[in-house]
Amino acid sequence: MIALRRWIARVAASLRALTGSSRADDEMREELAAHLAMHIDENLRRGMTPDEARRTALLAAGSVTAAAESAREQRGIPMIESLTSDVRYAVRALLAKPGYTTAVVLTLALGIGANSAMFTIVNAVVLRPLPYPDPDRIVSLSTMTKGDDHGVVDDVNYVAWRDNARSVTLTLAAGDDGIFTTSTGPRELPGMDVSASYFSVFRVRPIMGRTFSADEDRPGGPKVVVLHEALWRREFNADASILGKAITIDGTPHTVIGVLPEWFTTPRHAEYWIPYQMREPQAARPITPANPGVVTRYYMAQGRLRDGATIESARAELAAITKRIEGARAEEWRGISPVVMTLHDRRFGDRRKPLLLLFSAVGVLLIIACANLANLSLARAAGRQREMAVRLALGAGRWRLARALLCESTLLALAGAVLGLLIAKAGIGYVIRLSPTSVGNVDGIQLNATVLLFTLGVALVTGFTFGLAPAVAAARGDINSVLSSGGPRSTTSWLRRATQRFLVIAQLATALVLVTAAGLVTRTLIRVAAIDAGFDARHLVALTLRLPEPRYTTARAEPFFDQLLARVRALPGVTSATYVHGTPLGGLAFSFTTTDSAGRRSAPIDVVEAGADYFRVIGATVVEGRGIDSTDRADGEKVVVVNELLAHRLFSTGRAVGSSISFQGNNARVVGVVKNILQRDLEATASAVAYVPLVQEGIGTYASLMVRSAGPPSAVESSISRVVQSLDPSLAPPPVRVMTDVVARAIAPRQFTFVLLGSFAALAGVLAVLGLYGVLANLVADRTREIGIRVALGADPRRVAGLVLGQGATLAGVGVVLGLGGSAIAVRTIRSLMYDTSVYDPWTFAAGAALLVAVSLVASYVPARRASRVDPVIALRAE
Amino acid sequence: MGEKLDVWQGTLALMVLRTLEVLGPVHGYGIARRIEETSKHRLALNYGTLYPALIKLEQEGFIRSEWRASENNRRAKYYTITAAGRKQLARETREWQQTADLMAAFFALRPGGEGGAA
Repeated sequence: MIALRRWIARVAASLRALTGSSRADDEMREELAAHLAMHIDENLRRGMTPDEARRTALLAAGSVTAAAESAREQRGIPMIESLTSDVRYAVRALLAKPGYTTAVVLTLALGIGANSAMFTIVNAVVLRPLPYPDPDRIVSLSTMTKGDDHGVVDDVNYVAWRDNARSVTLTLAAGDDGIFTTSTGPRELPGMDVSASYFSVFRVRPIMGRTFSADEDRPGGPKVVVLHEALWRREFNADASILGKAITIDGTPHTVIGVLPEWFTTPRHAEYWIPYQMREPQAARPITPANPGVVTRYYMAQGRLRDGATIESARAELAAITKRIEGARAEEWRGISPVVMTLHDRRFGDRRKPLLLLFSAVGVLLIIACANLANLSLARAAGRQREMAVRLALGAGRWRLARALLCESTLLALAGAVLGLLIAKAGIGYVIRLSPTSVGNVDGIQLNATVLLFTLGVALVTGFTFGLAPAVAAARGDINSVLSSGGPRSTTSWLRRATQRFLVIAQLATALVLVTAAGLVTRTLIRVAAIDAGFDARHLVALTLRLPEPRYTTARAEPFFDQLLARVRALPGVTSATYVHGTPLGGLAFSFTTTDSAGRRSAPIDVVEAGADYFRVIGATVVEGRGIDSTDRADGEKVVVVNELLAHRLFSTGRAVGSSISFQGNNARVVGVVKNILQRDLEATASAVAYVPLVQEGIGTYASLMVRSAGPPSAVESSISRVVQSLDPSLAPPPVRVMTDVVARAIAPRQFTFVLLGSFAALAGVLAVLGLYGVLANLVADRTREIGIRVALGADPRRVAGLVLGQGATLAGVGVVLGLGGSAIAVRTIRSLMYDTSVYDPWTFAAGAALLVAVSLVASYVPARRASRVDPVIALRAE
Repeated sequence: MGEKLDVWQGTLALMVLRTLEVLGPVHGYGIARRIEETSKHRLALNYGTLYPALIKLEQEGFIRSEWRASENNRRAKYYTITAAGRKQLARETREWQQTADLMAAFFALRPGGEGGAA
């Protein structure tokens, strides 16, 4: 206790002394002066002469400065005081070498900035939990067969799970857009269809009113709506009496029953929620030609794990339920098992891998930067050997010297971090603009306290890492050899050289790993970009039209669609147009299976319902027969166009046209074969597709209008919107998809990885090669005298140059060999990112290695040339 | 003058406290003089030794200081022992005494006596 109190008193006094330091110094000086005066007085009293009295007193007192210094040390906390002097010294030393300081700070700013930017993104997308209470208990549910996740669950399984599962509360949640009358006219706003349990699954309470009751969530239930606070404020002026009022969505009045708080956000930024009112699954009946079978609906299901349940226990329970009902279902439903994963995994799982890859790449980049800077500061430390030796000789502690150097590197790193944050801020903006979809969760990406803390941590570790080697070198410095020898250059530290070489080799090797990875990603991107989607995306747009029910019935929709098509076709700049259910790369309407005479079911066949001239409009190639055209009538012969894959699968070569296939109880004559058009995904293998005339299936109230224009599509976009609104002013302008954008978006995630990884690899390569250059330049400078003697003794300058070049080649060679080995191990982690490319692609490995060796030789050439031009007279006189 | 001894910091603090306890308020010069006299000039205290010790004692709260006029009308800093300083002095004195007794007992050992070396 006493010891503690004493310690506190001391620290307090020290801190006081630190702040009032100069006053304490003055007092001390006065006290010492008084001491001296009293001594002199006494000496005089004893009869000494004034001179003698003074000299004796001074001798006895000792050095006044030393006393003041040790008194100061006693007063202040020596650590802090000497630290501030270290910092002051470091700042002076760094300002004295602006070139070195700028180079280091810029390198660090790039390294740290890239890391902070990637961390910000990774933190927002991968690490940060979803913005709901207990987010890791919220799960996404679907089914799979043979490990292939459907992403959805069929109605029979959903209802069985919903009614029987004890481990999880289920809800449906599907995106649904609705037309609202807003201050800027009719607009389609994002909303959701959800079950009554949705709000308890996400643990959100309305700020006013209530959420749905179970009665409101039944088919035919009342039309009610829950609004988002943002919508309520923006369009309804935060009307406190809105509860119970009716608002019009898709032309139908809905009663507002509640308002959800602002914090509750969904990925699609839903602004309203209406009850799902799910229809219970139809009872299974035997499939006959008259009864094509029950209609199965698929749902996006989510849920919250109940207390005590885990993902594994929920999966086991749902699997048992699915197994139990399986026996009563048709054969095609056998072998299905549930998928249970956290909602976070569902939303961001596929983005995690590329982002973590990029994050590791910037980490490696920073390590290379550190190694580079360590080399740079080792070279600088070599130039400062004399200074260090003098400081040691004058009594500076070795630890103190090392600390001073660490202090310098930490200061540099902090300066780099400040600049790096600016770079990160700009970089994040760039990355988000580059590809919002690849990043995901864009809203959450910002420089926050976590990021600042991360950056500070990185800066401190970085400063310590690259400052360590020179600090150790300084602490081990040998005073005698440096001070007694002619000049700082003549003593060479074997250890320093070895360290520098090791660092260069390590840099080259790690840089090669990044270069190889970037090369593989590039190769994949080239492959993907070269994929033939089967249609011509240029000057092609797709407009999605959804006519709100019940105002539009199928019967009323048909004339509307006919009128619209006629008006659009007549627009100037429009070459051709038609409708389709199932746009290219836009997914599919539905799929079916056929049964052959032996009763065997075929693999699923996708169906696209296409309007007249569909293939001509989208620019697909009909290889045999004809496409779908205006001769196909609703009441005419059932016809079908198959793609090459389906033709191949069902018929022998050249026999497709004229044959017939049966599906859903109907026979249809094959009239043409079309080249494969990718429906789902650019990188998915083509599926078997049957194209049937849209008129024979009925257009319904929902269709995509494909429009080909003569010029850039932007010219016709707005005129099409005007046509839609002139036909029905209550309709919102339809969303337009420019097909080139759709294709671009499909390869965007790859492009994103390619651009970022490519730049990181390029930067790493440049840093590593600069490191090599630095070491060789240093070597030539160190050995100028030796080279001078060699040349004076008659050595061929070209051989001297070869010596340096050989050094460079050796370092590069060792680095590249190690790098190839490292790459072979590292690329295994990116296997899943490849498309049609092996991660052990020999060409990529060879090209990366050759590139690095070539650049290394170029970098070695400059110092080699300098070595060959050493003038012996000057070199020897310099000593 | 004979050879001067180095002053050991721990013992210097004890000497300062004891001097202040005996003399009452006294300035740095007076303390130095008194210690030198008490040691029969076997100890010599220069500034660098004395003043850091005084600062340390003051920081620990064993002494306090104030500026006053000296007997020759000079402004000087006078040091006084505090209550905590007296307690510390008593404690240190006791410890020192025990150490001294202990050491004396060891020095009193004779070869061949009890517990002596073989």
